[in-house]
Amino acid sequence: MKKLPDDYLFRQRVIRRKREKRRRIKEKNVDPSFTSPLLGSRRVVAPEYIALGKKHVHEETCNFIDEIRHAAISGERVRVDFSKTKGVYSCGTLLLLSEIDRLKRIYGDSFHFSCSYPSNEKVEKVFQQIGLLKLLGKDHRMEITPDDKDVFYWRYSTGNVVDLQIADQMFKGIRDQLPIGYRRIVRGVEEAVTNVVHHAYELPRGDRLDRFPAAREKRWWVFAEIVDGWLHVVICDLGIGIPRSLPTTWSEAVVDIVSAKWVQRRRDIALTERAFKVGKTRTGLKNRGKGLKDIRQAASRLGGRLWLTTNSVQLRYDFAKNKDAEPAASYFKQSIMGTLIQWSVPLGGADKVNASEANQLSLGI
Amino acid sequence: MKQINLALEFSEYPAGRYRSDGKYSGQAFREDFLVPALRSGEKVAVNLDGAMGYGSSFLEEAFGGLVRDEGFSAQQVLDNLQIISGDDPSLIEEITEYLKQ
Repeated sequence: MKKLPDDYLFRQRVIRRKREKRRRIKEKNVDPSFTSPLLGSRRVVAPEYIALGKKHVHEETCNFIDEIRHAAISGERVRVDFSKTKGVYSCGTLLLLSEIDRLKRIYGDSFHFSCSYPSNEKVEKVFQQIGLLKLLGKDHRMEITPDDKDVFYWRYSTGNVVDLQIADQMFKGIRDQLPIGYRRIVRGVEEAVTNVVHHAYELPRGDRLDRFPAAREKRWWVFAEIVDGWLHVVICDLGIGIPRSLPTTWSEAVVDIVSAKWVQRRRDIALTERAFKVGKTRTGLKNRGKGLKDIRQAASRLGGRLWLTTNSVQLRYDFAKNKDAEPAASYFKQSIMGTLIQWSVPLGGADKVNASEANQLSLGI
Repeated sequence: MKQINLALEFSEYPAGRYRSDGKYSGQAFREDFLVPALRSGEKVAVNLDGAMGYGSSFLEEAFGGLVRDEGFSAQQVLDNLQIISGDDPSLIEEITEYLKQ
């Protein structure tokens, strides 16, 4: 009788699994991008647009990021396929970068993620500029010059304390193009960072990663870019979101019930709007809660726009015509599991503080 | 008169409230610079120009904290502290508001 090879049974199992997989694909139209970890890496396909805003784009981006996170939690090897990605926008890209950076900090050498180079040259340049390719183990191969106007002025920084010295290179990189009055944006960023450190990580995020020390860091990520005469600054945290960080008092809860706002989506939108309007704060202390007004004023005084996405809520302010503009609100099925704030201000038309006026006033006059 | 240039002597990026937030917080500026200067008996001038920006958390903790936590009265501070802010004069009014709260 012929002796079977030692690995005969193993090979038979592999052949059987491949046969079953082909059958499943044929019968149920299963996504062929999935591959069992035993046979190789899992391919995760990035969407055409990595952005937040319009409903289907928001959902595709969030689903993509969720898939990456779940794959990391499952310990799978993942290859991110950027070949279909045509466009990347600040909010979605920063969210993606933040999640991958956080996963890498959590898993260290056990983080088995790689990617393909994007087919779109501009997308590749952006990913190179912000360090995403390096995070995913890819070498930089493009030359980026000031002629790459849409790319060259993207800057990125991250930290876990309230110290914007960390982001000094980022701000100095664009500082020469900004009048002094634009430092209101820095003020808004400072307050946003302070809020992150004080409130965003008070409770577990709830993504099954909270047991890792790196996941509990009070980390923030910030982008700045100048594109087509607009300054865009975005800050991201992967914390609990503004609605979860603001417990309502009993009296406010009664008002909400009576006014029929006691539905999750309306409650979350109402809480977030209230926080920005009156400076509502988790602590309830009289000397606190001023930072959110700073965040709003950083856009309103410069005639710009403010987008706030926190968990499933999105508020959009347009202060171009009205400094007291009310926000347009959306509620998405997919939560970003954190908070993103984007300021967009036009560089041409806002008031500039006249720095040559040395204005010395004694307090009390 | 004692002069303090915040951006040169403390930080170009003052931010945060408490020392636990980071190195250049309002509490650190108040305890390490403002309080010793005010307690020296001299009048104090603080120049805010040159920094990249001042968040309300920093300003409230640094200046409002003089009254709330350090035992100064608002009038004492108003009489002995001069704020210089050519880059953004509105900061003077804001600081006054925090002292009077």
